[in-house]
Amino acid sequence: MKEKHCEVTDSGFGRCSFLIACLSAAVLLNYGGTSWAHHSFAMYDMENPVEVEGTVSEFHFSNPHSWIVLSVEDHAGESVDYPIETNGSFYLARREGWKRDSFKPGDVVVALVHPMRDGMPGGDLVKATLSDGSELIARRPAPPVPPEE
Amino acid sequence: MMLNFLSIIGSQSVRATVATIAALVALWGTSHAQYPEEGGILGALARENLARERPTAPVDLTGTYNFKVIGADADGHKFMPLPELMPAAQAFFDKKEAYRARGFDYLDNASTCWPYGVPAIMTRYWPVQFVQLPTVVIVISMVTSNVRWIYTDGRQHPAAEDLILTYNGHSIGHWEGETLVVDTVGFTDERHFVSEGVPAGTKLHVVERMSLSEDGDTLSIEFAMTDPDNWVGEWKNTKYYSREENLDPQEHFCIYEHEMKLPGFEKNLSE
Repeated sequence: MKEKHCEVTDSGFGRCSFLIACLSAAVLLNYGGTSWAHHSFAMYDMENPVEVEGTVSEFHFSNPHSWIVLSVEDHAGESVDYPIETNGSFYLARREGWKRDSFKPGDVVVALVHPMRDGMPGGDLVKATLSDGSELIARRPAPPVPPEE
Repeated sequence: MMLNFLSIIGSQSVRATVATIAALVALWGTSHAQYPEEGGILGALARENLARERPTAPVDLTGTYNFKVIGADADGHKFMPLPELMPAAQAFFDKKEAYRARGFDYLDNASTCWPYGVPAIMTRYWPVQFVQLPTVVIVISMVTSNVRWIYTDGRQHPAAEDLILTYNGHSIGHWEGETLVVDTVGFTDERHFVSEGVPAGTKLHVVERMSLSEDGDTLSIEFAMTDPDNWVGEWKNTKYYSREENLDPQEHFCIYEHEMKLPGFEKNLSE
């Protein structure tokens, strides 16, 4: 078992080292849903988002996916790559106002992600907060499910 | 003079050249000879075909549509409820479910850039576009920039032995009242899935009944599918799509090297 390294931030979310997924208040918000998925999300813990802080080393804006690679310091002080996948540019641009330079190498961001279930670095983005406090949303809380027609 | 010529063609390199030219001429003749067979049917966009007199279609399906998720979120994209699966198909389905429960996936085509095929390309999160011409309805599904052609120029399916097996199959359509009835056969069974965990076989036969609501804002497609190798009887399901007037699809290519960068890539197993 990896050593836990979590703290509660002002936002109320648990902030963890990438090695451990810890429960956070975000679970109550139900940012789930796989309907936009291009592929399976079985590998992500969609119920228990965590926050990860890091420095952007790569951002790719395209369909079917966009992705961000953060350079994250683990609790041993080592810098590791933390890859984060997110929605396609088609939706992020139209619905959330993302642009191809929304993240630039060197930007420090706090990412709320659905982490890998197996504790390996990586996750599916819910939202990212930039150092100026602005937010880029990737997922909204799931809307009520329409009834069968 | 003749002697000189014979001695020239006698040289090895020239002989090879003469042989190549002779082969090309023969091939050219052969390929031309094949055209009439191939072109017994005019292309859907041939001017002569487009200009032919035929009844005007009762409805124009041309438009851009978004798939409407009805029912449980993830299940809305599937064709639930499932039919009674044949033993091998059921075993495959169970295996995939078991992998997913453990945080893996099994033969997930999307993350390895295998084609979705019909009917799955019709039920994705990305929009579909219909372009209706007198001879063909071209359906562009944004997912993986996919195209299918529904021929409405009166042609039939190729003979069974001439079908080329593909992911989207061979589609022909005709109008019954205001409903476009689309008949599709000729599917490949190579990593082709009707719905998550349900394999498609070469006997898959899909009939889609496509119609617009009275106000033209909702497209509905009733899918009726049979595949005796994979399930029992007819598998029926209706899907709905909302017309989108402020939307155009974008490029959507699945690039394997990009997929490999995603954190979950290695969780998709092929065995």
